[in-house]
Amino acid sequence: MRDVVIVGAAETKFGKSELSYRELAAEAGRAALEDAGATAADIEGFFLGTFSPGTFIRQEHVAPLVASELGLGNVPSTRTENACASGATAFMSALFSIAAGAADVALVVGAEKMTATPLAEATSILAEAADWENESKIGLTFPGAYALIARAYMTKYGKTRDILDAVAIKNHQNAMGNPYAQFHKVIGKEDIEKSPMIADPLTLYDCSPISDGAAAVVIAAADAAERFKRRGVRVLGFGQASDSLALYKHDNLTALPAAQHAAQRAFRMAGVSPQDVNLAEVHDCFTIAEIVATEDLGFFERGEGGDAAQSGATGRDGRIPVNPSGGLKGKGHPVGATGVGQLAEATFQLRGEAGERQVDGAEIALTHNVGGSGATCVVTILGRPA
Amino acid sequence: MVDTTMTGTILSYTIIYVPTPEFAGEAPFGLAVVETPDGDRLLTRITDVESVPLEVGAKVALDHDDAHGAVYRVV
Repeated sequence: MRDVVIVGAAETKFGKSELSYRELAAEAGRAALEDAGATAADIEGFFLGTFSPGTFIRQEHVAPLVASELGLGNVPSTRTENACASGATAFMSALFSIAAGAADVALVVGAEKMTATPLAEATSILAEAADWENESKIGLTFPGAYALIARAYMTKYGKTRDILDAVAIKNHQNAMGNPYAQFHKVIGKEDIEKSPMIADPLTLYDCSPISDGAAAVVIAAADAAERFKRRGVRVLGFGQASDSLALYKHDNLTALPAAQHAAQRAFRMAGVSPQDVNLAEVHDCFTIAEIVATEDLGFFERGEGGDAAQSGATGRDGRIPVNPSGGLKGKGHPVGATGVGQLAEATFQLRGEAGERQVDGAEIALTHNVGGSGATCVVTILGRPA
Repeated sequence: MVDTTMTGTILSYTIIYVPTPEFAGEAPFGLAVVETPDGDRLLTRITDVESVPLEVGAKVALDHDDAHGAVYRVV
């Protein structure tokens, strides 16, 4: 494949926004172009990762809508949907367009506008990403699906909810250093104890929030990237894998098998091992998801991911910093924006521009974006500019 | 017709406190991943979770069949 680099990255603030869907998406896209020192005329392909604007804001056909808002003219524009992994899937599609020689430079935006929808309706819309016939129809929600994982994990390895608390507390703390984060609020065990049960054993503080937001990256073939003002962050490897939508059909209830497959492919392509990774932005839609992710990605042995969160091994100064941005828990989870936001964060880290949340000497970063309860997973490995 | 002798073992479970709107009047309710003696798996409602605590490894049997499909109970 042609070598590909990320030459520009940007995010809007995540959270409840007064901006409309198209305004959010365009703001992120314009900021990424500016970051790269690029103009609309440089862009030869546009990819928009988004989950369900048709239900959230009654608008489909959103790729040309946003492309037009960005002044991209007649550039081909494509929307990708893979539930909460829609953003990373858009990035993959952009990579393929460059690999195929259809474009030298592409813009990837991820966006979602969720807070204009009443909470109960938003929960229903999200549940549409599960297997309706086998799960949603009898009352399983996404918190419920991850609660099934949490219960299976805690039983198998003899753990208490202390491991979940450790993830929530860490990610809220990390978000304090992130100006794009939805929450700037330190939490403690007493807050978690008082929080309402959502799906036993998961409480409100185990769940990522409903958010608005957008993120964008400009990517280019390495041999076409010299015209931009920044040296590009290198795409070293990527992997995507699928599994059944229905959680109960997975081979393993205490892992996400698709994440393991995606990670193996990404590591093989990059020619690096989990020990080489300096920081990871993982899909902590629920606290248990981060624990399982750190095991699926090979950072820790099975059953040790929760202990690692408790011991500080995944803290910003730990052995492998996980979610220095605050993750979905602290930073927010505007579904389609999340995967692109992870790539933007990794780009800031590898350029040494992550401010208070900078991981010192970051050379290799990994992103892990999951759709549903593990039916889609995309893992990307990025390297510091050469 | 569902075989009312159907049994299984709980592999994992949850109790839903915040449901989607169509189940608003039913919460809290139990859901479990059940493995049958044949090794098949299903996701199923578990009835009466207030009086019979759920546990991984607990044995269940089919209680009845309704709009939620097959509903099991801990035995």
